[in-house]
Amino acid sequence: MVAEEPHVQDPPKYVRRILFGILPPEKIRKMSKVEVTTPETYDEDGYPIEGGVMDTRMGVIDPGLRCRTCGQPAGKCPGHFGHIELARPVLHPRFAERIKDVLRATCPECGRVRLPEDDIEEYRREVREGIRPVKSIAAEVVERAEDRESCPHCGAEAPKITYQKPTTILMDDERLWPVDVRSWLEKIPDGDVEILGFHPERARPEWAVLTVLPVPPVTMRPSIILETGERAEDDLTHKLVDIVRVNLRLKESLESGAPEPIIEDQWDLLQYHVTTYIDNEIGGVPVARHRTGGKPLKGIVQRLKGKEGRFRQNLAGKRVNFSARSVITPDPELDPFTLGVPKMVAKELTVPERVTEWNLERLRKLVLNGPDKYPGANYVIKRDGSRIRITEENKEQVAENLEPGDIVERHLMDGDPVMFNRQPTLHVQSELGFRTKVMPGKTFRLPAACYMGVGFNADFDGDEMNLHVPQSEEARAEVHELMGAYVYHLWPPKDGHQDVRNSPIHEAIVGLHLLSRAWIPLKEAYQLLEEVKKEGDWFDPSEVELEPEAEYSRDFERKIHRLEFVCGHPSPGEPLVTGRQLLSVFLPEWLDGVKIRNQVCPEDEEHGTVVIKRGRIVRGFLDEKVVHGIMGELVHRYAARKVSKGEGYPWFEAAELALKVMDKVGRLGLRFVTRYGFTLGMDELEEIYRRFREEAEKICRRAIKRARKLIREGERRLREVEEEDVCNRSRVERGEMIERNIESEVMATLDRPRAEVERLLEENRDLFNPAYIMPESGARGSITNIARMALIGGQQAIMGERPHRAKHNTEHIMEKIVNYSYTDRVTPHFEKSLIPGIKEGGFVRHGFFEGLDMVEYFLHAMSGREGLIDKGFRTADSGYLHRRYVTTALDLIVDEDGRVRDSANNIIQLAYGEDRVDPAKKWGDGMDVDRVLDVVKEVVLEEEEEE
Amino acid sequence: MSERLDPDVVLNHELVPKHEVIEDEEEIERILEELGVSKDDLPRIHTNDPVIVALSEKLGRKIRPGALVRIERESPTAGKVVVYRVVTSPPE
Ligand SMILES: [Mg+2]
Ligand SMILES: [Zn+2]
Ligand SMILES: [Zn+2]
Repeated sequence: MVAEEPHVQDPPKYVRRILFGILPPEKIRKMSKVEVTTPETYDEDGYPIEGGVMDTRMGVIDPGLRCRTCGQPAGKCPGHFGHIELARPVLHPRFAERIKDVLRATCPECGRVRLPEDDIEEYRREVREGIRPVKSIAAEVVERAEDRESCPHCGAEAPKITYQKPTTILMDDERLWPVDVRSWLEKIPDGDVEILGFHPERARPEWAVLTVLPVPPVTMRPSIILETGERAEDDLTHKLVDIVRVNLRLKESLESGAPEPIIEDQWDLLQYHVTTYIDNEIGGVPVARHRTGGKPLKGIVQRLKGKEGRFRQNLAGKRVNFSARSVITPDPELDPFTLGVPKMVAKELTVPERVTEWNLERLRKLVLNGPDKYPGANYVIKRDGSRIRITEENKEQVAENLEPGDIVERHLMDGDPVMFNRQPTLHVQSELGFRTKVMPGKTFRLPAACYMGVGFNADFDGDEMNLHVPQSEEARAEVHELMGAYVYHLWPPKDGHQDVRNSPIHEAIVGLHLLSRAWIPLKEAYQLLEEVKKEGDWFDPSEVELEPEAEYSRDFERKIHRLEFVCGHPSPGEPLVTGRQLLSVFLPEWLDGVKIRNQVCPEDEEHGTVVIKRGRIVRGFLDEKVVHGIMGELVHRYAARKVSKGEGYPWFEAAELALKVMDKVGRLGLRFVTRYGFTLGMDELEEIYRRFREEAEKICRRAIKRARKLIREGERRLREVEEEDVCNRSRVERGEMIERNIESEVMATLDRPRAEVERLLEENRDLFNPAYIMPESGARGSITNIARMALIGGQQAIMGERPHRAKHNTEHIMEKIVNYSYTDRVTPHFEKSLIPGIKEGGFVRHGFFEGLDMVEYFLHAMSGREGLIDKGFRTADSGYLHRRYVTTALDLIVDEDGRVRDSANNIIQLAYGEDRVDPAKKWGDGMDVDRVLDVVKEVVLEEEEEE
Repeated sequence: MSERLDPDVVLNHELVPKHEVIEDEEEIERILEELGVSKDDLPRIHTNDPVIVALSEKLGRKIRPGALVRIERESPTAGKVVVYRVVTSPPE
């Protein structure tokens, strides 16, 4: 199966089918360019020896040498096979077992399969007509034929064939050497070969007994030069040298008529080397190792097999060019859908651009900048396919010669579509299309005002992500249209509904919440807007007219809503605007009739519900839920307007427009919180601590008292059981049952205080304390976190139980262990007891503010560790589950008719998703006609009004 | 198949959708035409599939390879969905 020299001008061809077979000896000799006869590799000068395994007729790898077969230098010469004439045949280790089957099924005298002629014919018909797999036919033939005691064709008796792994075959308990095996197999007629799972032309069984061994080209097993200047040969080369050496010795022994036992030893040794050359992981065969270091040599099978083998490592998956990886950081200045790419990366990753008369001048300038000055270019590919590396020396020359039809590989520039990915890549949202923005620094920057990291599940604590630059116009278009971040961030396919998943980062949520409660001096309001503005922005603060809604006075602060506050230090008489006014600046005027109840203070009559009329937030305090809701409304209504105007698929642009607005909103939140400050420190926790400490203590004491009683009662009952006059076993069982019941009651009792403290905190909320603002606005954290920090750690659990040690009274089986092991108390700070006490059992009554004591700390760490371990197992398990799912589904495609097919063109679904709807791109709930109508009516009415 | 299952239990199980065998050649032709596919394209169902075994038992004869099975499923996305499968012999 050796390829002819490749013909460059041949058009690409489709692989229709692949036939596998065994190389016949004649073919091995025919394709060989040299017979390898000597174990020597190089002469004193380091030149390959003729007839050695590195013979230059098998190809060259050293620069400067030329191949003696094709005359080409290293790199051009594809390499050529050689061969070794084996002094005695050996079994191919991977076929030995099959050969044993064939021997058992055939007659040593006439070579026929030991079955009646009619049966043979019937099997042959089945094979030829492909009625069932040849494998199962062959198995059946062997199974039936090996039981026959004599040959139905010539009457010869069937010998007993035994097989010893991996390559030893015995006939009637005497060694059957490969020579004899081979001549036996040769006798089998072609017609019988077929039904044994072999093939008369492509795989005669005797070819599995090697008489001549192909030597793979040098290019397939190149030697490497170590730093020390020494040559290190490939494992296959080492093995081939072994084979040649032993082969030569065997040949000499045969020629000199050496005694039979010596010949047999050498023959076996030859078999060993050939076996390990092909497969060095065969059971029962000592593994061939490196002479130095003792690492196992890699046989041919090892090159192909497994995760690191040729198939899975190099063929099914490959390394990719035009990619980069770095740490990610957030950047609130970035526009949505753009990705900050370090200049360093932009200079290395290029985009091929074809030269036309219209872009000639622009590209010429880039070429003139060269590879080091940004924006420049690294390569020019001329029309004849030659590739010129642009250097400082040749850049003028290359620029001058640039002509239409050439391709310039220019640096990555602003606006170029790129793919951005984070592992684990579990779904579409893990690899999205972004637009490039080249920046200084070394990290990739994600737009943060409207946080784009949701689908990636990325945070900025050192996460790294990958960048890929598409290399054709088609790919660029696909990245933009099919992978665009806006599609999947605003219209994730999950559940098929248009849940808007994106929301501004936590800091911005806090800022927006506070802003919506704030009264701001007019001057400062304009300063904020000025800060939100970006260079070349669509938004211009000088066009904004803010109507002051109040004037500052001492009195004023007492009259405003209990949750509102005044920012900065206005002097009496200074005009004030509300944060809601400021936010409204960015909302489109047609955004009308929006009512979203918040989660911060939903019960509040005035500000519990956010109301937007004609693009103005008339009342209501914002929080995460509201911001999310506004975003959803924006996307839906933009899309609806597009639909109503007949502007085709609405989502892409609707998403972009909505995010354009939300980006400003998010930025305003960030600027606000930056300007007026927001922090959560010990002081905030201390405030809560001082206020609720006594109440919390009381709660704890109550629970502890109850738990103590339970424990005492439990111990009493356990002792009773112990003293009962029944057999040991049932006593233990009853004891265990009592213990379980007591434990679960104690657990429940001690688990309550934390929940009660949480309720206490909820009931006495102080929305001017940042410790409350963070969780209540939905930005981050929960009341549980606050309770744990300020007041009480609560009951710790390990595998759902209070931490405990083995009990003496239940350790009835292993007396010995009881005497030496540590039982009946959790740590040595406690007295032994039947049921662990309150603290001993992991009840943490202090919060982090006070600090945990030693035992509390230790048991808290134990339960914390359990969480980490669980997480580790969960991710490993679900990762494997996901891999299994993906490998079954990865080559499915949707064809032109909306059917889902696999790579063999089988239909998997007659209609994609059974309804032919792509949930990522559909409009409404499948087709929500009512909703579309409503929105269309609204838009039409509004347009009529405008006229 | 070690244990024989009661065909009614199989066919009425809540996780088994409605299966209907179509053996009439003309009818099969018509369906294939309507779907615009050939038999080879369609998903397969083996003659030893519990549902086919149960249906055969109900019919009192073997269902030959080449017949179509019409399956009506509840679908979370499309409400009710009709799919077809070709009856084939199981591999060895
Ligand atoms: Mg992280
Ligand atoms: Zn060559
Ligand atoms: Zn015979």
